[in-house]
Amino acid sequence: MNWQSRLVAFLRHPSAWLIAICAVLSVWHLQSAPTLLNQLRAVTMYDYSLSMSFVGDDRDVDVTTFLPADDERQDIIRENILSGQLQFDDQTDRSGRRGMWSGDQGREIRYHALITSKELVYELDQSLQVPQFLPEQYSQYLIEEEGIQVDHPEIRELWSSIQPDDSRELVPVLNAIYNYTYQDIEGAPFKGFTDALTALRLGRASCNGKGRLFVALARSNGIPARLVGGVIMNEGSKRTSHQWIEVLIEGRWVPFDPTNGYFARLPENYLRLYTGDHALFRHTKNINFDYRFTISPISQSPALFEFEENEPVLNRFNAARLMQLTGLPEEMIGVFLMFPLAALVTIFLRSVVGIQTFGIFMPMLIAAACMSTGLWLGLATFSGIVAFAVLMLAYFNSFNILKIPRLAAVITICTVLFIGVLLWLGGRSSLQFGILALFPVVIISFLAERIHNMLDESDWKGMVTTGAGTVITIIACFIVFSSVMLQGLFALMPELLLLVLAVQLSIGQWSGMRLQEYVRFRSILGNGPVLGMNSRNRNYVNQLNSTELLDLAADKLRSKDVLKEAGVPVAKTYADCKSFRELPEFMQTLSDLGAFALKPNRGSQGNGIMIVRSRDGKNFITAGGKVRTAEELSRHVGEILNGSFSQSGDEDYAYVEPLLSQHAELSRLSDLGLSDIRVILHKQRPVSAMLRLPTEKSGGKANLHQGAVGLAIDIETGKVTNAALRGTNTDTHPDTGAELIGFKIPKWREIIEIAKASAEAIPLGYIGVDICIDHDRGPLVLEVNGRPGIEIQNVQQKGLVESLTDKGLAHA
Amino acid sequence: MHEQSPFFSAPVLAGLALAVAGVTLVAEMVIRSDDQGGIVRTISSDDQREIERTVASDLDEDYQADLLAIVQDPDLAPLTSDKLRSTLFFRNASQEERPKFEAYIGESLAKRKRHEEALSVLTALSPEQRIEHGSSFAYAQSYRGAGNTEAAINAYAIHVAANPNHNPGYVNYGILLAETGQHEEAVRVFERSVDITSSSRKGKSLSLLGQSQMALLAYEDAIDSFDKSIQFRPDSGPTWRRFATAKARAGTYPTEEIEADYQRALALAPDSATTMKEWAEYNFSFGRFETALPMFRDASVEASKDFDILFSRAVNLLASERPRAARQIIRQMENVGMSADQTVLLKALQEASGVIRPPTVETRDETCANRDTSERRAYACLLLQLATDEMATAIQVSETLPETSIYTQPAAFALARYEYRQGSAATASERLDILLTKNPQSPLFWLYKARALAIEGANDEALAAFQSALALNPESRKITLELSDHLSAMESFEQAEQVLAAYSELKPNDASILTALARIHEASGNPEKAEETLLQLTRMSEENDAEIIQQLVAVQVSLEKHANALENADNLLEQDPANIPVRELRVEALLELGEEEEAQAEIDRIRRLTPTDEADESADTDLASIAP
Repeated sequence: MNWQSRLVAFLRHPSAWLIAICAVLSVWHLQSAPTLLNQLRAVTMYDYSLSMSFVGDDRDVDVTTFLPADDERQDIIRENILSGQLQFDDQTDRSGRRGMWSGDQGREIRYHALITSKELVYELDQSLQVPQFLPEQYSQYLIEEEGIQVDHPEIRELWSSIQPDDSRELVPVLNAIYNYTYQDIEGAPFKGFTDALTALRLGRASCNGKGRLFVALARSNGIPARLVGGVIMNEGSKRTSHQWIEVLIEGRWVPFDPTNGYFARLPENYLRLYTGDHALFRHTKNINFDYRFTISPISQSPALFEFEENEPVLNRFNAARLMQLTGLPEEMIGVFLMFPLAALVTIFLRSVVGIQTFGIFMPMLIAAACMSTGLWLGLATFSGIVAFAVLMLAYFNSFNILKIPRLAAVITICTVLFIGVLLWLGGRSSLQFGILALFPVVIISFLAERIHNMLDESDWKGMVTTGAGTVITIIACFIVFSSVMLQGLFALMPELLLLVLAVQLSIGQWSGMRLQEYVRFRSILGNGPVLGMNSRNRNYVNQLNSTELLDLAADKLRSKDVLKEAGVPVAKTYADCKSFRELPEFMQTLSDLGAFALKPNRGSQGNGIMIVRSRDGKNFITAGGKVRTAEELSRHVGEILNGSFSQSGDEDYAYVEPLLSQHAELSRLSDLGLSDIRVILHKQRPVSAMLRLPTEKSGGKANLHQGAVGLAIDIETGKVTNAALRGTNTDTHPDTGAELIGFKIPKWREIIEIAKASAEAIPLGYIGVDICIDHDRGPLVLEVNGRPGIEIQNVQQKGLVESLTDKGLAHA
Repeated sequence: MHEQSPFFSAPVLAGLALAVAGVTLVAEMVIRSDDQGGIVRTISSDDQREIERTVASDLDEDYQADLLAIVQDPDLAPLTSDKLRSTLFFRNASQEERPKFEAYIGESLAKRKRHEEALSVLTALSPEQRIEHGSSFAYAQSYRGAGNTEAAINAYAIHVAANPNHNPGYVNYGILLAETGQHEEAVRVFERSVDITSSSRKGKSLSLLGQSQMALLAYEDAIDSFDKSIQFRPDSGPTWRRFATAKARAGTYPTEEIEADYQRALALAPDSATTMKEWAEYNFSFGRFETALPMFRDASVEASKDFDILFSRAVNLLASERPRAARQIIRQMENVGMSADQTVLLKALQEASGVIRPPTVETRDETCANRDTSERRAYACLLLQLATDEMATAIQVSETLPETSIYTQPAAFALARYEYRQGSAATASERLDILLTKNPQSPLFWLYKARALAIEGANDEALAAFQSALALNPESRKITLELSDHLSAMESFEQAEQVLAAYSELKPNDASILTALARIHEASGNPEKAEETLLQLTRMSEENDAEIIQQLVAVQVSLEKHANALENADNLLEQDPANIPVRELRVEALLELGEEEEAQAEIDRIRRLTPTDEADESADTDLASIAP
């Protein structure tokens, strides 16, 4: 393929168009608003909560406090006030914004706000002079007040001892006051009211005493000054507020903090609440009033909340703004914006890296839920809930409860538990659980079911690898969800979603080997091209196998009928059970049988198959030697009918077959269960085959993942050329010690013919036919598989691709 | 089917993804870095310059041109903050520079008097940003221009606090304070302005300071301020006027000095209606109502729609006992745009002057309700109190007027006049004595004093008072006539003749005076002079007053000039056939001339024209028959 045809092919690809449209829109967008990306810089947003509690005892209660208000430095992005049945009102005056609650019903008030703030720094020229004239508006900032003894002789005396050479120069005067109050007045955690004089006399004071002394000294020098009250927004929960000073210099109120040592500067994390010498809280007496500030700084993209109404249309085309218009809760906007990208990461990890997870997009949802709790706590919480759910499932199993009601019960209990945890944390922690945290609870219940099944099957390796893959995917999605830059970028330039879509489609059309498959098939990488899962699905299953035929293959009863009709030998079906109505009759049939194999119609990988070898009175003895009562057997059938073992999870049928006895030659290799032969056919042409021998580890199942031994069979001769156990070559059976290499499969020619006949009867272009060799009836088709696995390559020690393309192979 | 470029193999893609993730993480760390751009401001001593630092000084010329283009763009008019921020220029500007640009735009709009637009733009900035970018003055100016005085005052306060040596800030701030009655703060502001400003501007600041001091009734301080202001601005007519008015209100400066200052003010600003008004008010305040009349008239000519001038003119006319003229002015005031207070004042004047009759209690109470707010409100209240015969309350109102008020003496005079008219001549006389002690220059005060004395029978004192009144206003016909009447009553005919003659020399053709003179000639037994005077009167006009002709006929009969008398009598009877006294004189003249038959006929006519109760109807008929 030359470059031109490659280009044409590329241009025909929908991803190409999407990328082109995205590029055009992006260029247009950026040209229209060159400063658009300036909004990407993260801002620290303070999650500020104030909870107030009291005991009103049905009395009329009044509570007043100062609430944050917007100014040049601080911006209240949004706020939420929970007043219960109390009446709330707020008024803004020169002192600040007062929140006032009143009523006789209520015990708790919660105020919550998201706030951004900036550091404020003033650089003062040394030659500034003490003001000689001030408009009357400022005269209030020069007078004596309660606690600010401007004209007291001791204040005057103090000033005479600390004053600079020239009291008309503003900065030296302020320096003298600041140095004295910051350095000479020792900081002390006084909780009550400390006036200027007391601070001076004790030489110790908290922020309010230092502040009043600063103000008194400034005012006594004709410099307008005032107290400012607020909260330092450090992370955590506390009851401490703070006071600092503002001095009027050339019309601007310049901040000073003689407690924490800020001269003409206010740090970013100072939240201003009020101006003047006020108490932060006022309330009715004797109501056991208590309060607590809870603060949590978070990084956030301004693109998610700073919407300028006067921006041009393209700038206003902000995805976060549009989502806000839909009424989506604001805390979910950033997460929702990232869902497509998180989905892309998920499919990349799955389709390119090859990571397996519990549920395809469930890790993404858990990651989204972790945005409310934090990653590690979220993982721990959800793991705990999963563990609890698994335990609950196990517990319910002992009560012989069917799958669907059992899952419903687990969901109910998990939800109750989750709410309990939220309530418990609500009073003790600053954690904020969003609504997102609730959704995974439902999914977790299904996850618990799957884990429970894996535990049942003792598939520890699968559980560990899938669990690790799930955690990795959760972490990757969490990083995506919590990326301030990506949130901002996708909010500002929603057209990038087209790029994400293009990449998603490209991954969907990519049929390369997954990274994990490079490890899985590392031993055969040099031995012909390996068929990866992506290629199998895209190039063979999707192209050669129609949905109807795949459905037919998955329906064992139907496929057996079709095969039987085509003259293909299949195991006899004693009876089937298609509904609970038929269950008693079915159970009666089972009770009449001595040995049988009970199977789910749409099961896979041997899941749900119960082998009953003998009877012990009314009880049934399984292949593993376990005793099952008729009731347990009936419940198992019920599970099958409920779809517990169905590949799709839908309701299923159960059917019973006679217990096949294995061909003697195969029993020589392994008599731990029924061995089967997987023949893979490509367009009705056998291309590869293997024998799966059960082991003790596989629990008698011919399942490679569960520890069965795979024996590569030469298509031409029917001889075993290689044997592999869990990806490692072996010459002997691990349990019987039988020599495996060179073993010739009995009735091989017949087996191949049966396989071909099966592929003709059910004309899947890419098909796996599972055949067993019954001692009495010879080769019988167990089932056909429209999505045969690729592990056969490790067994064959060579890639399947060449065989699939080599049309000159025998039996063609 | 199996072609797979190695460039798109999983390891390559995974590596690529890792690289993208790495770059993204680095970018994430960069944008999460703590450098969030706080606010950094510098306060330097440059801000203490007299000239305000404007944003233009910090702005490149290229930017200025672009921004001015925005200001002048008709498509953007009226310009708002939103429109401004949506312009391409602003969208492309960095966040840090935008406030500077907005400040410049706001300032440019304010300079172009587009105040609402300027406010829209500048309000979007914080006070600190306006100060930082030198637009706090433009902000205050815009509020002022938009008529929001309270906001403008606050904005000016912030501006002068930020720019402590910016004189225009103080001047405008002080003016608004003064306009809103905050004179004490205005005095502080103007004093600061005087302190900081250079000599070229000091004169204006001193003048403004003087005005606020005047408002606080600190006239001596105001005079001092105006005096200093005049040293810097000797050619300022308004300052001279204020200087004169301050002196006038102080009440301790000689009239000549005050009038000289007013004269200078008018010389510098000849068309200044305010100067004319204030000068007139000065005369009004001292009871020189007559003197004030032409001044108010001139002021009205210059400012015919000025309510204040018309009001002062109207009250002066009422005080000078010219109610008809006053009513004319008051009707004229109805067409002038008025504030709520002025509307109340107009209504008060309408009822006090008789434009609307009778005066109502409602109007009086409405006027008096807020009489403390202004002196003229108090004066109008007093006039209505008198009109509704609430003398006691009127006295209380008059006592609330400050001594320096222009209405204090007119109010006291109104009370005295009321008392006089109510027959309380003695009380009126006492009140007039007080007035005359303070102000012996008012002819009207003297006139009423004379009238009161005359009623009391103190003829000599009354005579002296009349003479004082006339001396102060020798051109007053009213005083002249009343004096001559008084002298006649005292049978001092010669003096009376002299008084009238003196007036006639000033105004030779005044018919009233000549009539009075003729009467006195006649009363003093000098019919020849009386005839001469009366003939002079008849020559002055083609259509003579019947009374004059009748008087002439009588004089001629007494002088036995029967033929002349008969001729004049006939002429008069053509105009007034029912004039019995003339017919009787005619009978007398006919008899003297021997025309008895005609005399008898005349007697018959007189009999017919002198109706009895029974002959009313026929008399009417006869009159009709003899009518021309």
